[in-house]
Amino acid sequence: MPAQRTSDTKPVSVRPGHILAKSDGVSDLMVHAMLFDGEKDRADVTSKTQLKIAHMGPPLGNATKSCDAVGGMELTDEQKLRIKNFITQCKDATKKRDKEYRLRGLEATSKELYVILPSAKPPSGDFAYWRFSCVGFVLKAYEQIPIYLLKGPIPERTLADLKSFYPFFSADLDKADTREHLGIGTGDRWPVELVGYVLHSFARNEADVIAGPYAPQLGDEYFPRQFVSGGAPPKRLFGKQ
Amino acid sequence: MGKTRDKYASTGKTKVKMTKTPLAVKSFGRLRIKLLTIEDEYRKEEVTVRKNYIHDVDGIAANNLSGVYLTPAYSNGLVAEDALTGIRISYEKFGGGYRHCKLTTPFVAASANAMKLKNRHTWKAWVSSKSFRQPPVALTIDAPMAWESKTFDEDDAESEVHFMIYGFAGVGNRKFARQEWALAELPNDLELEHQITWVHDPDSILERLENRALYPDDYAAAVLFAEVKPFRGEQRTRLLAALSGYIDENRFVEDEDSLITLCSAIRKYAMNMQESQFEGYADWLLPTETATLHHEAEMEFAKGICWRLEFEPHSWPAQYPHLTKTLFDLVDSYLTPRLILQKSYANTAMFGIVALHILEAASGSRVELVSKLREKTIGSGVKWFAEMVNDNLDEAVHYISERDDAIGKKIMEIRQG
Repeated sequence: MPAQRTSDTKPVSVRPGHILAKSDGVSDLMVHAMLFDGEKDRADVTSKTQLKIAHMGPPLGNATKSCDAVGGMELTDEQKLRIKNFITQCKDATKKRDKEYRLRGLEATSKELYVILPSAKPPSGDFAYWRFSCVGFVLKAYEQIPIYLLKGPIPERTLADLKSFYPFFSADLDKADTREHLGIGTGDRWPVELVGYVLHSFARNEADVIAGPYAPQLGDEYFPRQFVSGGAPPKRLFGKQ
Repeated sequence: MGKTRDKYASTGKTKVKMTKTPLAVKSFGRLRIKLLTIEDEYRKEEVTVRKNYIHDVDGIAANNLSGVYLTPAYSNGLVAEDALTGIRISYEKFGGGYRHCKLTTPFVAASANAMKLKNRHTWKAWVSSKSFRQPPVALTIDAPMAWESKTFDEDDAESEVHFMIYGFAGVGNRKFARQEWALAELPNDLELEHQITWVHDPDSILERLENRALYPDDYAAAVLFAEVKPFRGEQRTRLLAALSGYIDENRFVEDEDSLITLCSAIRKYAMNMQESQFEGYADWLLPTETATLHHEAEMEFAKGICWRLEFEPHSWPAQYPHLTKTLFDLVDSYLTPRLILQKSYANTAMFGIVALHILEAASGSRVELVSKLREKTIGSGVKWFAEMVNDNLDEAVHYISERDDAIGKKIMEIRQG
């Protein structure tokens, strides 16, 4: 199954392990990536269907969400099992920790395990977790089977761009320490992996997906691809096209 | 004691006295009632207030409380975190202005509820009188400041804080069908504490981790907060000692809530432990005659040592025969098609095999355990599992080679037999 948008009326099929995406709600800009974590195939998925998903919310874990786009490929039972195993490995204590923060009248910091660049960061003594962006989480899941979905050069983005791609972090991105924590502390342009890129990777024919990763282009953050959105000026691509 | 005045008498539904207790709030911190003991009697639908006391921790007096009804009014936080015994009422968002509470005491566990009174900055929490099978000796409220932050801002920094404690007779929250009486008024010995920042301060977290008398929920919170903070030098030594004690005592827990905290402790310990602690770590993987690890805890132990070896530097050649043997036995027991598809066993076995490859590479000599497991893995006929092991070994080699190319190559040699 290639990548496709969901609609209110025409149902599409989704299988365990497929990637689901949420848009920003006003355009085709895709801002959140998830994995379908249901037990069975679904053939009735519209943009309103609530599905069991696994994602780096944050926090990392399971939830029930609807989706605006889906992408995936034929997965064998073994591949589904390996993705499931990966999800099992990723259990963490963020939800419980967030609850404790709230009990103390503190802002929940489920974002502490979120990282934008790189999209997946190995554990260390300081952070005894893999840290992910939402995209990093699904890319890492597919590396398990092993399918590599993206390759460089990744278009570089400005801080203003990132605020639209990561609306949940919009305010945080103005803080130097938070940006440092997210991996974009220095510089003014960053090659971040975005949700739309993953969908465009799956939009290729399946043999190409298996054969190798996809090099995203400017505008791939939208699905379908576009270069101008809502009257905003076209985004520039930094680096080689 | 503060002034007392009728507050709700005008409602005509309940007659309650409101105690006004001035307390200057200097900033947003926590207010704590150290320990509250109410020596009153409750009989059926009637409450007789005999005497109200507020004691220090050491001055606990038994009482006959069968139900209680609390109102922290105009508070911006009320916590008795260090209470050695007592009730904790915690609140969670329940929607629609109501909040659900969970109540626990050392004696009983019961449900409780809280409600924000309409147009009042007043929260009431109540528990059924049936909840108390034994009288509590202390009563504390855990009130998230997040609720109050909408009400209070910096302009309120000098606001007075009022607290009321009501006793009630009856069942549930039939607040208009029962009578309420003021039981106690809280004098000015409420303590204002500035403890909020401890969750971000490694030294303060350590102080709590080293205090085993801490209320279990608070201890668990310290473990959780420790996981995402850096500990250096002496701090790390203290952290490991504290976590070691916690893991020792809790490694066989089975309920989901405790497992989350245990797994958090395991991860943090594993990623920070010294090489001299590897062998002792292996002991935690061993069952006793009467208890065995929950499969999630077992996976976390295997993952912990695997990640420690993969992502944190270690010296070599070095041999860890006990750890190696323990991991081998663990993996060996799960490498059958019957078990590998169950629970977390595939992940546990996979992490164990990757760890054993690294351990063998670091040992400087061949111990042949890995080759036995490899043969068994292939012989099991579970192809996807063998592929999963290989892919994770590739990843381990990638990260280890970034630090030490020689060990990376050694792992590749072992893998190829």
